[in-house]
Amino acid sequence: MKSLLKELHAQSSLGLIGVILSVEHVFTFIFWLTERPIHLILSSSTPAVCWPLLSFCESLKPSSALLTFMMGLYLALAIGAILSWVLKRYKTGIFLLWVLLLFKTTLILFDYRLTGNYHYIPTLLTFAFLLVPGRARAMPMTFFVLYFTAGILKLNSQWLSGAAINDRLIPAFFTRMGVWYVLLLELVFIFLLFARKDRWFYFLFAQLVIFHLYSWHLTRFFYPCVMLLLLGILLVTRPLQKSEGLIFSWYQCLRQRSAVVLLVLFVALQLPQYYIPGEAAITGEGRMYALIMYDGRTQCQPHVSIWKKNQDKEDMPLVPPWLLTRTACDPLIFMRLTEKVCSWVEKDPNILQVDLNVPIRYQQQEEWKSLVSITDFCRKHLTYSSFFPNSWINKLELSSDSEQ
Amino acid sequence: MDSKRSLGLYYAILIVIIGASQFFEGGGRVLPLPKKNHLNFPSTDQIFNPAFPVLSSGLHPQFPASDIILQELLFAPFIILKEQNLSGKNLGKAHLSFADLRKTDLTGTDLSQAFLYGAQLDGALFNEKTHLPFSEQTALKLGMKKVP
Repeated sequence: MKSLLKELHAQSSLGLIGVILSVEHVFTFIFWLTERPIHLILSSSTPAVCWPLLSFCESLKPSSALLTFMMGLYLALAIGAILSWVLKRYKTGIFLLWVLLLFKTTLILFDYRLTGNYHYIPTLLTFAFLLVPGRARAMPMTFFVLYFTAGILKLNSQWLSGAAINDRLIPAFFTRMGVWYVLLLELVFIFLLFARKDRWFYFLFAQLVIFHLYSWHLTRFFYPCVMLLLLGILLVTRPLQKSEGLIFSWYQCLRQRSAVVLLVLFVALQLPQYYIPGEAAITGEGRMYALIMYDGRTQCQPHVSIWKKNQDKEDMPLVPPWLLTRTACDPLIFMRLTEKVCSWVEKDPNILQVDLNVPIRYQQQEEWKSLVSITDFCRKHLTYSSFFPNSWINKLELSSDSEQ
Repeated sequence: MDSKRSLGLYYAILIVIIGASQFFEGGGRVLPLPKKNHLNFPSTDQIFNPAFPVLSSGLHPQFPASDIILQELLFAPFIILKEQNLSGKNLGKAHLSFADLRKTDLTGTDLSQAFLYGAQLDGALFNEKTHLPFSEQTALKLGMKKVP
């Protein structure tokens, strides 16, 4: 906190970053009241989809009244943080940013369906702001790492073919051109963040703004709003730290231990999706704590088959609400829901066993492949590993199928 | 230009673009404003959403016997309860959120838990032919939704 206070007193405009990061929490509050209604996702009527490390999250769910209070408190803290930064009460502002970060993370930990890139990115930027000395250099560097990583993660056939984009507004030809342009933007033009000449920096900035404005109709309001808000940070830091160039900025930034720790942690969280066999967009493995980019649009038909003593079999579809497009077929979700089914089936002596099946395919494919097929699920007590292969998930590679 | 001014100008331009777009035809499609999401089964959203292929038009989800379903936490759309005679049953533990209770007979049904903790009836559908164990006003207060 000392280094941040020192920098804030030396460069008071850095306080605007505190304002921006606090406003992001107000956006989250609106998002959780509208498009992803947290009171319905965490409702006692809806079974929880617990994170792997918090398999007891159902018991932690706040009551409706408590959740309403927590949301009110969340908004009050966010407004308090904004005011603190505006009034230059830096100590309070820093404290409230930490509290808001903790508050939001706690809410997300209540249910896996509350996660998303739009929380991941501001969280990383907040950590960089609070922890890495030399903010004027560290913040553009964090943006660089985020966009460049996003570009790397898009290097797959689903993105490059344009199949990942479900655009109904512009002709398919422009979509195919657009996906390549985004790669160019994130892997090449992004170096202009460190351009010595302002015009190149603002050229890149305008491209990023257009990119997020364009993505609005695909991802709906919250994600682009958050990104457009956060991009303002670059306008704050540019006048404070220009004409350094990429290599010098990297060198200076990585002299800070906190920057190295953050970078190593961030990169480490992106890696499991590469070393776990199978296509992460299909299996969902290894990217639970990673940035998730636009990849293939998957379809699945998850269902449990309930076998009874009288030899009847009943198929029950697993259709939990509030799934995200990119995690709608994540095996973890169906594992959790089947656990829930087991908890009531075990009380019924007429039921012999429960099988879980998740057929899956890309939207443009005809053939279904089995992602998960487990007989007698309730007696197997499966676990889910976030960083290593799960033997019960089939390691599918469906992109190569669609190319054939 | 200093940070404050450039930041102010940037956000002002964005607000003008987003605000102005709403006045043009198609603006709401390009930059849609937040919408308040609800859960109503079966909804047109879900019928056409690839994430819910099992709810394709004309297909009804299959369930085990309703007595099992009604034991505790279940989350699927209760189309099976439509037009059923649940009169006199003990549904104390049942979670009937988003259940389709149109034309269902609930006379004398024990809904005490749901009644106490209204969340469990949140979003359930009923119509004029539903025999409710309480008044229509109470049903609406519990979050049930009246449909034709």
